[in-house]
Amino acid sequence: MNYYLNLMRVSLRFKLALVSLFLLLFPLLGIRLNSILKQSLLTSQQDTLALTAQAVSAALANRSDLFARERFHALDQARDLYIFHLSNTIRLDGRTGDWQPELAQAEEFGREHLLSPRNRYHPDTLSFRHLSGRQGGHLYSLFEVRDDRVVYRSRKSLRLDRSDHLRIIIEDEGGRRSYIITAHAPGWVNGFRMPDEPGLFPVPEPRIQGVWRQTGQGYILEFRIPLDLLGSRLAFTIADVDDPKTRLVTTLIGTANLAQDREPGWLLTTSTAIEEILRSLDRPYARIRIVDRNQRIRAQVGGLREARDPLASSQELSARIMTRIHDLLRPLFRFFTTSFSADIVDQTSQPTELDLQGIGEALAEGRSSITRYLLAKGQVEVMAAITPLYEKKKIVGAVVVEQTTNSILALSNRLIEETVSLSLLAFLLGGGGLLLFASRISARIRRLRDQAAAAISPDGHIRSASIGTRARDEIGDLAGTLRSMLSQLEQQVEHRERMADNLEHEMRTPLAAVSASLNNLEQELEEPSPRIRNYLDWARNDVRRLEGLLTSIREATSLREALQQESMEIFDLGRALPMWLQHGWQQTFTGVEFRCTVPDGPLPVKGDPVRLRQATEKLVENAVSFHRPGTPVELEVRSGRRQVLLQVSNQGNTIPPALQARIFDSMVSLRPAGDDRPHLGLGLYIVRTILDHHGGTVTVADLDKGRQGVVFTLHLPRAVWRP
Amino acid sequence: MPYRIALVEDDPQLQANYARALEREGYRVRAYTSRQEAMAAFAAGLPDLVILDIMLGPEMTGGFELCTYLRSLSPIIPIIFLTARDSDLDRVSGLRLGAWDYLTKDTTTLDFLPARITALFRTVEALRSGHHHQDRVIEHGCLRIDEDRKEVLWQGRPVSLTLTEFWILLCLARRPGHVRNHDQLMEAASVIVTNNAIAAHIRRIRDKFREIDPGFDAIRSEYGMGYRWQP
Repeated sequence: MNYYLNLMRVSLRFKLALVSLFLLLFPLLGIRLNSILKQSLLTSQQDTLALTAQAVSAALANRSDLFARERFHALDQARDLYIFHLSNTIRLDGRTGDWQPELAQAEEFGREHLLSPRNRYHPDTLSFRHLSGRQGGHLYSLFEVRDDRVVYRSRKSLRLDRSDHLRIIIEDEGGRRSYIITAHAPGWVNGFRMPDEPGLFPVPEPRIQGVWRQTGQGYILEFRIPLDLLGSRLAFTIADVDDPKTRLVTTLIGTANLAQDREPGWLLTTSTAIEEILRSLDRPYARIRIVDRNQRIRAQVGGLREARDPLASSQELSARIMTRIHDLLRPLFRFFTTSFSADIVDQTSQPTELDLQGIGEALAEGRSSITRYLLAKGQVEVMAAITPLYEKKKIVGAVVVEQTTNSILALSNRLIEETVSLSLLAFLLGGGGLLLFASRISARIRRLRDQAAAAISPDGHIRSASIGTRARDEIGDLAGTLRSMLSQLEQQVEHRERMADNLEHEMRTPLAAVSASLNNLEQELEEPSPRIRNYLDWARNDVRRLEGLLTSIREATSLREALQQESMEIFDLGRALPMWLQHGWQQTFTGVEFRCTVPDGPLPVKGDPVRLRQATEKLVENAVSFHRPGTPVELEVRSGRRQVLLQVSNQGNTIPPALQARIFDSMVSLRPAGDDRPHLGLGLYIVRTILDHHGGTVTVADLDKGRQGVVFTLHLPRAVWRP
Repeated sequence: MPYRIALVEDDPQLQANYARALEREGYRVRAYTSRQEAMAAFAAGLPDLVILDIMLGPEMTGGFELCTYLRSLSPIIPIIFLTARDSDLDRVSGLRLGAWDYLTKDTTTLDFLPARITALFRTVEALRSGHHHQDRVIEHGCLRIDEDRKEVLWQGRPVSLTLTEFWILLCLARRPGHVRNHDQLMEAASVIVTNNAIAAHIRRIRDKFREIDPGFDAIRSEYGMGYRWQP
């Protein structure tokens, strides 16, 4: 049972530390609150965006004139040309590098845009990539043409259409015009205005200027047209001539073939008019985009970048300390917060199409929705509200209002950081406080235990009832109870000792009187007969025996008190034992053979030689009483690890194991028959008390090495020899 | 002229027996049973020697009070305490009374009482006469013993020993460096007691010397078998 109790011993501090784990509820609470708050903020942002989108949609709705003007009804994706805003300065050098990043959105023209008879088309013979964009006051166009055979204009011919060439058709209020760009050789080229009527010659149009560069696959044509030369419609066609002899146009790919009297496609750009309207709505932190039915962006206003930082750092001291703490705890925060980038990398490539989830539904079914997406991996998260744009109950486009969720995320992260750092603080302070308190309590209890242990000396003597504590709490009560227990015990011991004292007096006096009477009787009896003399002797002997018993009792009961008064010295037990034997026991027990073994070196012990001799004498007396006649009583003293051992052994009957445990208690006695000395079972009790006083022990065991008998061992602490 | 001895003992049998024994020795004995009775008698006239039981009737310390009273009447009247309680021995030893002694009540009391009475009378004689017999003085280093007056000086200051303690010290100091075992000391002190009782006497002697000189270490024990004087 005790073993298990020891296993389960858990200190108070540990228990309170476990309890303090409850403080971890705080951060859990904080995180929960934070997620609720974040959710609510996001919802409110969604609502705001949705409202904004609806407001914009309402502002633009039913503006038929606007829609017509801005060609919202343009439907033919193959024909309509979407003009980009070019970000880099275009140099007319026939190289495509400066067309990045818009180049990625260049359209491929191939079989789908075939304007010549289909059965004669072979993909390898002609295909091209085209990109047009605005810059400055010009329209820049890039044609990256794959032509298996490039045939240039003959210098001998005035005809422009007998070689690979580009046809441009422009239509404005004044009508339709067409232009051709072709080249004698790679290099600088100009456009030519084609005559309206046949028979007239083409007129050079120097304002259309460009560069024709031959490449491995074909050629690159890069040119520009001033914007005021353009109209509202525009079409391009690339004509392919492969045979230098026949110089017949074999393939035509482009956006419109006027030969078949098809209309050129619309020129679509972002609508400045719509953008003006949007700007007037004044939504600084949102980006508003309008897309048409083909999901092309027709107007864009605003940006995602925040103009001001909603979490401006305060210069107050407390804020600065918190910032310092936050920096320290940053690695911990990463576990709990969602990371996001506050940098909005501006998209240098302006997309033409906006492909967000929700736009399709808005355009097709007229459903408003909210969606969230990342600009790019690890980039900001953007929330978009999409609403259809109506004109007379018809859906002509969609409004997309976007805002980053940065501020919410930042706020949420900030909240988590605060929660974590505050809970950490609370945990440290609270846990620390609890730990301190627990330490204090366990220290107080330990001190009380030490005081209680010190109050009683190892041999049971009460030293002092000084158990003090000033506090008025449960521990103080416990101390008070211990104090009163000790003083009660002290009183009882005192009472008992005084009683023994008084008892001795009460008994000794009559005994002394008897003895004195016997003395007088002896003195005054004239010539007593031998029988009378015998009676007197016996009587005197018995009185002596009674006195001896009284002395034994007194010596045993007041032994502890007597030991307290006596002083200790350091002496060599190795030399003492033989002397005791030689000058004492050898003479007293004449018929007994003694053997004494002592080591060579000194065996210093600290003690009272008289008392230790008394203790050893008791063991010797027992050994002599119980020894088998003819066998020796053996005495040995030797050194242990940190002890000195004195052993008294005799051969004879062994002590039953059950009795071995109790043999050192008082009044336990086992005597051989024929022992007429008075005995009270106090001898071994006295031995144990004396050894206790010396900080040692006495043990009993059976003899080993095949002999039957008993060995008593005194264990004494070794002393440091100071000669 | 025979010496007059006063015996104050409340146990009637003991009183009668001791009185009878002392009379046989040739002393004139007056016996009293209570403190009051004794005090009244002493007020009228002092005896030559007083034997006191400490516990008189219901009074636990009647003997001590009587002793104080006697000393107020005479500074050198010899007093012998009779005790049955072991705890009284230390108390009695602590008294500084000059010529006095104590005995335990047991079978050997009457055997040794006469010797003590004689010794005490001789001490009183020596104190009264003021003679100095130079060969009755022992001097070793800081120790000076006057055997007749039973005076002990250590470092010039007096040490107040009982008669038993004086005899033990004398036994040791006569032959410095020689070990005296318990039996020899008992014989010198005219007692038959246990070894522990001898050890207790030695302890009291040491304590009295240490009061004067805390570094006193002249009485050495010899493996608990005996003692020797080793200044």
